Amino acid sequence: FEAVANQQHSQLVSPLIQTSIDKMEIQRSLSTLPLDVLIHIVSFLPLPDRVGCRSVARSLLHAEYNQPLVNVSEVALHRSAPAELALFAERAANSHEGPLLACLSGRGPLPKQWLHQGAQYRDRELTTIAHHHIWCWEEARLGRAAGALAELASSARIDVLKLNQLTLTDAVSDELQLSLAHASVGTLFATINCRLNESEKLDWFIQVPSRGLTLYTRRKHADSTFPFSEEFLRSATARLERITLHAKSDRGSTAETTDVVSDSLLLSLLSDRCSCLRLLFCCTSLTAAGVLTVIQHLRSLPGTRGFTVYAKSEVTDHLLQLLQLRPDGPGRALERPQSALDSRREQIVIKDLWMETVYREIRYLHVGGDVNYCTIDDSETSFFKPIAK
Amino acid sequence: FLFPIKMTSPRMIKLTSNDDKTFEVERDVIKQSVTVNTLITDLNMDDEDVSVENQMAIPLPNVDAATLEMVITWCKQHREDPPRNEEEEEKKEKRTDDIPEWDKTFLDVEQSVLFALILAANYMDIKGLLDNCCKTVANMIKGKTPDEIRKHFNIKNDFTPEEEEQIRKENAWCED
Repeated sequence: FEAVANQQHSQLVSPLIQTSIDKMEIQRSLSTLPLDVLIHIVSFLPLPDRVGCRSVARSLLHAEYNQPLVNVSEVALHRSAPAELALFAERAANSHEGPLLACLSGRGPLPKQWLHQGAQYRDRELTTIAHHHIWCWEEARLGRAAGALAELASSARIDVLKLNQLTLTDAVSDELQLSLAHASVGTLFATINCRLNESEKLDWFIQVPSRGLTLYTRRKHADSTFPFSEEFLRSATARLERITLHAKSDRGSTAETTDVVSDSLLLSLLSDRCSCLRLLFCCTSLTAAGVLTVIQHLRSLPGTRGFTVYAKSEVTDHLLQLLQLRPDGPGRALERPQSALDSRREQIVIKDLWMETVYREIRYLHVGGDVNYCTIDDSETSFFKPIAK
Repeated sequence: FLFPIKMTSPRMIKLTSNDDKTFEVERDVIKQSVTVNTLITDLNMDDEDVSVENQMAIPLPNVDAATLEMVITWCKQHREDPPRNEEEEEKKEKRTDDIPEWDKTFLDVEQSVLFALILAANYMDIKGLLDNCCKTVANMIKGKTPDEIRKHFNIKNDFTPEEEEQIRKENAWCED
């Protein structure tokens, strides 16, 4: 009877997100315990015994998950092997309203940044990061992870969606694109491991319904194509409010060099919908006069806008001269004095990149009108933090 | 500096269960509950000028009298325990064969009582008690087949046979 029931059950619902679990059916059992306590109990068990217990955990998770809308603060897809993707989902990181987790995933170490947030890597099966932060996971092949993601994305607001260490084969791109077609994402964050020969493989990232995009790319071979074409940049800035694009070479953390971004293109990119553009690769075509024009242009626009580019060292020296600012050394933040009559404020940082002598980073932030403070994206940089009036 | 030596009786704290029974317990005993300890500090209840009669009772809305009595008994037994270092505890190997004999006997109770104790320990944030309760439950689970575990705890199986098989395979892989 049980086998038949199970079979019917599996036909009715998705293997990952079962919606028909009735909480009341699990009476006087472990389910009366809070999920974090349950996880604590399970953490004392050797692996084979977890088969039964994870059943409880899943029942509870699904019962909690069955609520119509969850606010997911961060979802990460993490590739642990070429054919596998792991899905981590964490609900309302700072909330104390019940168990947070709807989480299915695979083996492999936790992302480092999560460990920094206090995640404890107990073993392959189970981890807790704090009293109310519980993750448990199971192996998920790509299709299942993408399916779960689709269900999650259709029922949740996701602040940050992380797709880590992706290999963008056509199948992966299609699967994920399909999964995220109806998502509501604050920022899409992806790291790509593959050898990027064709930039069009990245185009689907722009199609995901989100407000921001952060992409990390690394080329494995110097002769492969630069990942971000002019067309890609134009499409991205036309659709998204915040964009951060990293392009690194196969040698350590060295940024890629490209002549794709000219003065006129940068000006054009910042004239559109995008209010925060960060191009973390060396733009060899940029000139000091061109960057100054972009800054002057942004000053004339309403609202808060900013950009980051890497430019050749001599260009940044020249820019400092044009801006009549003293190059006081590496990492100096040069803030323009604020006029008493003008509530606008701006910040210019010319930063020597660590161990790099050929190019420097130019960051510019402009806060227009009567805005008291601003936050443009992005946890990665202290530059885009609120500016107190 | 000279301080007058004052012989005082132990500082007492009043706790009220959710069925309105009030218990008086020594401050030193109940300090093992992080929740109660924090309340005492936050509400400035360590003021020695306030007699226990005039002292406000701390309500524990999630704990019934029978359970609270057990919690207090446990705390009395463990009042001399050295303070826990959570970082050290985290690093320790996870084992269930280190429950003290006294606790083993104390926790040899019906499942519903044990679960009530777990909930109370969790709510009152008494880590030592919670740990030993969880280990006791883990010991009930250990060595049983999934079916036996489900039967023992009245758990509904929500795995499909395919999923269960898949998990077995994974676990086999993990133990390689």
